[in-house]
Amino acid sequence: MNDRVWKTISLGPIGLLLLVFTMLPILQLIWMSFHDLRWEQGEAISQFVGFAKIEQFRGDLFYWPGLWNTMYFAFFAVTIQFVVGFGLALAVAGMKGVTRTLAIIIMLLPVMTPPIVIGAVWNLLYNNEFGAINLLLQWLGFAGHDWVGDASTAMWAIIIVDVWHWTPFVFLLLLTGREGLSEEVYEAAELDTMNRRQILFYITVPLMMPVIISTLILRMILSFKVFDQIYLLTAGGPGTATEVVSLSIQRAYFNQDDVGLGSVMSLFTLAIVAGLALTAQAFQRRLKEKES
Amino acid sequence: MNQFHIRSSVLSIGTAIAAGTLIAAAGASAEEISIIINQSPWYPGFEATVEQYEELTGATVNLEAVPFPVLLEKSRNSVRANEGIYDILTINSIGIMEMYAGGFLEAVSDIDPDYRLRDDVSDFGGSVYYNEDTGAIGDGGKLMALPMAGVIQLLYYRTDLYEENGLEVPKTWDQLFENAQILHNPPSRVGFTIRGSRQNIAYNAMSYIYSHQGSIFADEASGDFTITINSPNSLAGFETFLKMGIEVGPDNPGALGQAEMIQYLATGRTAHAIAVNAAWSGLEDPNRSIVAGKIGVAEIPSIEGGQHYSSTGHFIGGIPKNIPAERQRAALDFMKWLNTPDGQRAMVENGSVPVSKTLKSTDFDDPEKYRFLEATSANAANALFYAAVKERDEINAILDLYFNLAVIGDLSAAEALNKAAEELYAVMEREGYQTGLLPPL
Repeated sequence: MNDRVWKTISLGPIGLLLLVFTMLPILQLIWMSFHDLRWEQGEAISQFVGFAKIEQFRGDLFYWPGLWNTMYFAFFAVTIQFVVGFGLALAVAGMKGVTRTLAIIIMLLPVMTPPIVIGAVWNLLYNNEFGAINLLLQWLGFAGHDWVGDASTAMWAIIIVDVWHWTPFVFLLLLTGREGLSEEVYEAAELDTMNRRQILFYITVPLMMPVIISTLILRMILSFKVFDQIYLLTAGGPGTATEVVSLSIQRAYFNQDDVGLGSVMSLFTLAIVAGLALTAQAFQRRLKEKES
Repeated sequence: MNQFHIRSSVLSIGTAIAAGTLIAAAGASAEEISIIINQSPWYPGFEATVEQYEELTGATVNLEAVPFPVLLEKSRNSVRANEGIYDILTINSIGIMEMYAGGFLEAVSDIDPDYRLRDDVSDFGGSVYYNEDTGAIGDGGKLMALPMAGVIQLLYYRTDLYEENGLEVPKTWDQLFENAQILHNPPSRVGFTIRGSRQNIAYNAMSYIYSHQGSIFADEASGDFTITINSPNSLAGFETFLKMGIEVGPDNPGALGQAEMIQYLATGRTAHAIAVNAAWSGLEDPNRSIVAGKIGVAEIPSIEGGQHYSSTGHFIGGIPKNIPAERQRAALDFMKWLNTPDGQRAMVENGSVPVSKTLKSTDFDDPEKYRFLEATSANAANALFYAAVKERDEINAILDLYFNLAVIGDLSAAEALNKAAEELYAVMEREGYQTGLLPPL
C-alpha cells in the first residue's frame, strides 16, 4: 500500500465527517433561505419563496443596527484585549517562580467563569441604585450613572465586560507565543545595544506576528458571536444601542419561528466573518512573503 | 349488628360515597400526565395545587419546570414530533396564536363536546376561543384550551401613604397622575414607575392606549388589520403613559424592566406601579419587601367614563393533538378541576395566581392576606389580549423598540407611533392581511 492510499484510507472518514458536519448545515441554510416554513394542521408546509426572505432581511429593523454595533463592539473589544493581553504576556514572560504561577492563575479566573455568573456579577456591579461601581463613585464624591440603562454608555459597559472576560484568553495565547521565541535573539539584540522599545518593535512584534494575527482572527470571530452578556445585561437596549447580530438571529429563529429569515441572517453573518478571516489570512501571507 | 357497628358501617359507606363523588366530580382517572411549565413566582403555588389534585384523585402529574425562555421551544419540539411527550403545554400570550394557527392543539370542545368554560372563569380577552376559519380569537370560536394561571396587571399603590395624605384610590388616569404628583418626592421616592425598558414595554403601555380608545389594529375580530397605533386616540394614551413615566417617575425610566419596577415597589421607592399580580406574594413577604402590609391593589384606571383594560400575560393549558386520546382526557380532567372553585381556592391558598373572576378576599379565613383578589378579578374582567395574530412576537418587538425610543427621548411620541405604524404595516402586508395605514400624526 503506497503512502497516498494509506493517507486516503486513514484520513478519509474524518475528512468526510468534517465535510458533512460543516457543509451540510450551510447547504441547509442556503435551502431554507429560499423557503418559508409554515405549520398548518400540525404539518410542516415548506414553500419556495424565491428572494422574499432576502427582501425581508434587507428591511429588517434590528439586524442592520445590530451589524454596525457588532463591528464596533468587535473592533474595540478585540483591540483593548490585544493591547492589555499583550502587555500582560510580556510582563509575565519576565517573571519566574511562584509569582509567575500566581499571576497566571489570577489572570485566568475570568475566562473560567460561566457566562451566566458573569451576567449576574456585572448586573450587580452596574446596578444604578446599589451597584459597587456607583457606590465607589459616590464615595469618591462623583455622581452615579446608569451604565447599562443609558444608551450612550451601554455598549461600552458591555465592551468592558467582554474585555474583562476574554483578555486572559488573549494573554494566554500571546504568552505561549512569546515563550516560543528563542532567547538567543534577545541576547543578540542586547549585545547590539538595542533598547527595550527597539526590542519590542523590531524583535518581539515581528517574530510574534503569526501568533498575533491568529489570536486576533480567533477573537474577532468569537466577538461576532457575542450573545450571552448582552442578553443578560441589556437584551439589546436601550433602543438598539446594544443590539447585535446574534440577538437578531435568535429572535428570528426562536421567538418569531421564522427559519427562512434566520437562515438568511446566519449566512450573511457567516460571509462577513469568513471575509474578515480570509482578509487577515491574506495579510499574514503577504507578511510572510515580505519576510522571505 | 349493634348500633355502633351500624353507625360505623353507615359512616364508612358515606365516606366512600363522598370520596367517590369527589373523584367523579373531579372527573379524574388514576392516570399519569405530564405538564411542561415555566419556572416563575407562581410556580411553587401551582406545584402545591397539583399535589392536592394528586392526593384527591390518585392521578400522577409530572411537572417539568423549565426556564421561561425555553418553554416555547420545548413545547414546539413536542407538538411537532410524531407523538408528543407533554400532555399539557403551558402557553403564554406569545405562543397562543402560534399553537392555534399551527393546528397543534386538540380543542377542549373536541375532547369533551359538552364542556363549556365556567362562567366564573375569565376567558382572558377571548384568548381561549379560536375560529379556525377566520383565524380570530373570541367567543364565536372553538374552546381551544382552559386558563391555567391568571397573570394580569394590577395597579399597585401604597395604602399607608394614601392614608397619610387622605387620597382616594384613582379611577382615572388624571386622578392617578395627581396622586402620583402628591407622593412624588425624589430621590427617596417617586410617584409612579412604568415598565419602560425594551423588554415588554408595549405590554405595560397597552392599558393606557386602549383605555383612550386607541388600538394597534382597526378591528382584529372582523379581520380589519388597518394600523391604528398612530391614531390620535392611541397617541393620547401613549402620551399619558410617557407623562406617568417621565414626569413623576425615576430618572431612567427607559432602563426599568419588570424586575426593576418590582424592586422599586419592594424597597418603598415608588408610590405606584402597574405590575403583574404574580408580584403580590413577594411584596407581601416581609423578608423580601419593606412595604409588606402597606400595599393596595386596584383596577387599572381609564379615562373619565371609559372602558378599563389590563393587558394580560396569562397562561393557558393547551392539550396537544399528538398524544393518545386517553391522555388527552386525563389532561382535560386536570384542567377542568383546576378551573373549579375548589381548584381556584387551592391556587390562591398555595400562593399562585387564579383564573377566576369572582373570588373575593372574604371567601377566605384571612381576608387581609387575600386582599388582592378583588382587584385581580376586576382586572381579569378587563383582560386585553392585543395583537391576536401569529406574528405577535414580531409586532411586540417593533412596538417595544419604538416605545422605548420615545421613553429615552430619542423620538417624540408621535414620531415613535408613526414609525411603529410603518413597520407594522410592512409586516401585515407581507403576511397577506387586509391592512392599511393612517396618515402620519
